[in-house]
Amino acid sequence: MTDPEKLIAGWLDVSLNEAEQAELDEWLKANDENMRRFTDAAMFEQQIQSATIAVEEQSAAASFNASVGAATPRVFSRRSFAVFAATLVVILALVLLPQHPADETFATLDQTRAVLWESGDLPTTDGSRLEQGTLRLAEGLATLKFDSGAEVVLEAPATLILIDAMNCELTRGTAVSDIPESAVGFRIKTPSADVVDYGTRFAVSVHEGTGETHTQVIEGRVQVEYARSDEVVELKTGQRNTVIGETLGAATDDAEHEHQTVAVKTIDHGPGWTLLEPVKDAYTGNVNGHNSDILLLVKMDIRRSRGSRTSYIGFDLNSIDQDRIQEAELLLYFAPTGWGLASLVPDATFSVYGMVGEVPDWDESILHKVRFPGAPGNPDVVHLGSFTIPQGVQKGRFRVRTEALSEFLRKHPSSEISLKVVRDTVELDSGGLVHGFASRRHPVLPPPTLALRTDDESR
Amino acid sequence: MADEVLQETSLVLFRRFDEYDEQRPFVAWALGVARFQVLSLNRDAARSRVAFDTELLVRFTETWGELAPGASDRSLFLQDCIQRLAARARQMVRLRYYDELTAEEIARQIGGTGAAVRVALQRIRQQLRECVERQLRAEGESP
Repeated sequence: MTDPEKLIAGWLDVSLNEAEQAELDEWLKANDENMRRFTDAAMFEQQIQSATIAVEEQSAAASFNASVGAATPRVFSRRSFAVFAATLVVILALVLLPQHPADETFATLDQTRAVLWESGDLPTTDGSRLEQGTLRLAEGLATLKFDSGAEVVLEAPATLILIDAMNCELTRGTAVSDIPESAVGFRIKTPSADVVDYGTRFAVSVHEGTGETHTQVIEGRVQVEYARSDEVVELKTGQRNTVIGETLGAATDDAEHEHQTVAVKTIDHGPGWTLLEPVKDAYTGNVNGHNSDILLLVKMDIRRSRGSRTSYIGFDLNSIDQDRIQEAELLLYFAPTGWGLASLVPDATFSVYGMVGEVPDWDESILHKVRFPGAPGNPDVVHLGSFTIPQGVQKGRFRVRTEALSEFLRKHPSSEISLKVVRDTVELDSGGLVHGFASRRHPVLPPPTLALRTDDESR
Repeated sequence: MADEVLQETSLVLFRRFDEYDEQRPFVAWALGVARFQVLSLNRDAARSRVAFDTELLVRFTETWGELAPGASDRSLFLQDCIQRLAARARQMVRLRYYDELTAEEIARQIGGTGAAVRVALQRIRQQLRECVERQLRAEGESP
């Protein structure tokens, strides 16, 4: 048996090891006298601290020091001690408690791209530590790193409620998660299901209006637990399912599917030259059920030939003196298509080509039905210019204004010209974002616009 | 963790509030309870153990309530006894109780090892206790 004095001293110094602490506990439980001896030591320790604080603070205050510095001890009444002790409460409370500040955070806002936040109750600057609360992302991409190791990329528009390092709740939008071994069991709750991860990369999308949940496994294995019963569906790499209202959908391998979130409309703004609207526009790469009547879709699928989408725009320049074109600019108004995951497409470069040679007189209603890119008739093309849309950005005005474009228009043998818009950047994995820009049928956004400046006819 | 300590402490204090009377320095007692819990939680946290011996805590607070009235007079003399300590001991007391350094941190400041500082501090506690008791006896003997 260790000397109890040593155990008590060790306790006061916070230097006991586990065995000694257990020994002390046993000794304290043995009888009341031991507990009295221990309590008295703890009490005396606190009295030493109180007195030391008083002494140090007195010696710090010189004027006070002179009156108390007498060699004989001052005898305080019990009442004055109570006042003194009350003051110490404040001092000690400050000294004792803040040594262990409560750190309630469990995640870091690691990186944001092109973001716009709506009011939430968490900090939204890069690098912020996050505790329980809600993030509302209006635009862009935000990466969250949970202390468990889980990484979640939030794609706008989205609302995520952070619960702890292993749990969060997605009430709208898309979350793409990367789950290392340390975070196996990471759970994303949605209004209609719980998606539990078993070490993988997966995406969950929640439709704001209906609360329906789409889950897609990019790699690995997840379990989708239906919120209203014990039913569970397991998804493996490449599989997906949908939970809508009363139905827990089965796992499917339909890789053509893309997550639908919600479309956002933008306000336009045009330049001041002669503006031409297309006489026809269309895109190829028709995928059943994932099309748009108002947007021209552009995508470079990881499989290249299948799933890629290319847009074509036809202008008629007969109102323009083609020879006199000095400057030309093509304006495209991008808008979210609601299809695919922005996380799977890095900064994307788009190229605009002019069709030369034997250009067939393509018909937009027919072109729309073409499943494979390359139509119409694979005529020769000439590169006119490129632009880049940063990852996470899904809308805005983008333009090509090059001498190559002006020259193409000037030298084109006929007034009917055809342009082709291609996304050069390939998605990182199947299910990537489909970009889209307003067609001439878009109800709000301007159509693809050719802005031309011709030199003065009088010259 | 601070929240936890406060919550636990207020619970214990509320439970034992009826023990409070004017003769007992309630505030000091409350602080003693808080300190006990802070230290216990520290120990538990250090060992990644969540268990907390509530039986011991209850007995500790009861014993503290029982002993506090008789012990409060010591406070009256402690300041004087601390001021009488030798310079090095006084410095150690300041570092330990005012600056709240650990034995190892004190050793780094004044030289030596943490273990040596702990031994010295234990000797100082004993010295202060003897000093206070001597003065209490003198107090009792005086008319």
